[in-house]
Amino acid sequence: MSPAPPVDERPYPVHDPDSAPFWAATAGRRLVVPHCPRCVRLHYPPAPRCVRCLRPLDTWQEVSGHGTLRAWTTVHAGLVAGLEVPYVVAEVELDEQPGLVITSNLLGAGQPRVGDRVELQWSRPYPDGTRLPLFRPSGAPS
Amino acid sequence: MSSGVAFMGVGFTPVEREPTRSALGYALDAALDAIADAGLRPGDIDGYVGSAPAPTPGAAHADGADEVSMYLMTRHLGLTGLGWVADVQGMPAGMAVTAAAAIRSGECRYVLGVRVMYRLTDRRYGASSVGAALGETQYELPFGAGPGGTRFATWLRRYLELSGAGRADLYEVVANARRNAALNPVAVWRDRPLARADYLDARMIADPLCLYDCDLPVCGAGAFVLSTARCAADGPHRPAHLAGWSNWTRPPGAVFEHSRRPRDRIDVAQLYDGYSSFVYRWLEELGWCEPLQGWRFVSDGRCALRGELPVNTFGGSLGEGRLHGIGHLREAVLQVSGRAGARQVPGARNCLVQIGPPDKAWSMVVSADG
Repeated sequence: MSPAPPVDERPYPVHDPDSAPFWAATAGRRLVVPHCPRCVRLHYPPAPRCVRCLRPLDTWQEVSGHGTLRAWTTVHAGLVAGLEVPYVVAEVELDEQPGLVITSNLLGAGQPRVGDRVELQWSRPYPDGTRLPLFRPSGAPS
Repeated sequence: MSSGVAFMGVGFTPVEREPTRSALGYALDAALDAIADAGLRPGDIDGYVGSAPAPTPGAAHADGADEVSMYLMTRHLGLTGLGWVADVQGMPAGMAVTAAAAIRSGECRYVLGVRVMYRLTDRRYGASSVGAALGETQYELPFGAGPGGTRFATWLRRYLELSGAGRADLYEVVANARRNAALNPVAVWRDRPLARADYLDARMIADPLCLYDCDLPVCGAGAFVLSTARCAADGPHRPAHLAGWSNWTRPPGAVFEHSRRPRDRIDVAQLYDGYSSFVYRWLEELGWCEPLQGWRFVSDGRCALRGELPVNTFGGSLGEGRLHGIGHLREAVLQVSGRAGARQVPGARNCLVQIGPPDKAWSMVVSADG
């Protein structure tokens, strides 16, 4: 089992009233997103209200972490303190809903292609337990 | 039918890699240049619209250092008795539209707009050193996303895979910018054509965006004076009418309807090119090309200065430097006023200006006709 990627040096995501349930769940390795029961839609990133019906988003649903690589880039410039280049920024469309896209990192992919299948891999925790939801090619050894 | 407002004058400073004056110094120089170009004196100005934010991850956001607010500008230009003063969040087209509203309300006659960009030399311009990611950045910075245009790089990766275009095609966007910059005396890249091999060998920022696909951090400023079409007619230059405008909350093509200028009447276009790939996107979203065909349009030379739709005739942000769109606006005014010199598009009467990244975009048509 390869070690989970460290996060200690990365910028820390500051939890706020909109995002607190999302980040709290990551400590238990659960990926949750807000759900609008009226529109039957999942949202990411978290927000106070559904952008369709404007009702408060106060229910959360766990998602599988399986998805499809929508787009990606290998970053070489090293413009974010705490991340070593190169690394891959990926936009992953989660299986639960077309257009439900999370920006994250893709780990351990040789030459990714748009449309590749990917799955969740949790980072190591920040000191407070918060983890980052990262992705790897589906079926890759964890 | 006309919006009733027109640009009377424009001003600019040299665009420089290393600062030769303070941010405030650039802003004042551009302002005075625009006021003089309009045939006015500072005391004639009765409205001001700026846009202060330093839009870069490493910015100090310090007024007078890398930003210049409306407070500093009014004080240092000695402006008093203004009917309308505003700093807007948006791009220079948003400044112009706000200035137009102030004029059409009857509150102002001569509105000055100024945009300065400044590179502090004590820091890496595009680099984020924050340890705590707040607000929207909490979903980006922990993943190393945001700085370096990663969201535009991902868009371009997908575009290249789906369209079949390659970096050799993207080079043509940058080469066009450099060729036109050679005809622009203030452009930072005016003496630096870019060979295809040098482009293809350039270091990557966020693959497939290389160094030359990103506009260059610079120091410089641009300014305009907007007035009523009637006042502008008495000015020293042919008025550049602000025919109409649109923004990101409308479909991209709405600008043609709102300016009463169908796309086939547009003679020249200034398309925001903070990243080279934006040009493809605008050509397609504004309807000059089918989706995923913009690269062919550029590679076939149709955007060249003597092509059917000259694009970024002043060099764009990629050739002139990163002035966040004030160069695009100034060029539109000069083109339809017949004042663009060596890069003048013969007979240019309607110029489209599109400023801002795709989700924050403003657009307008500047016209020789009221």
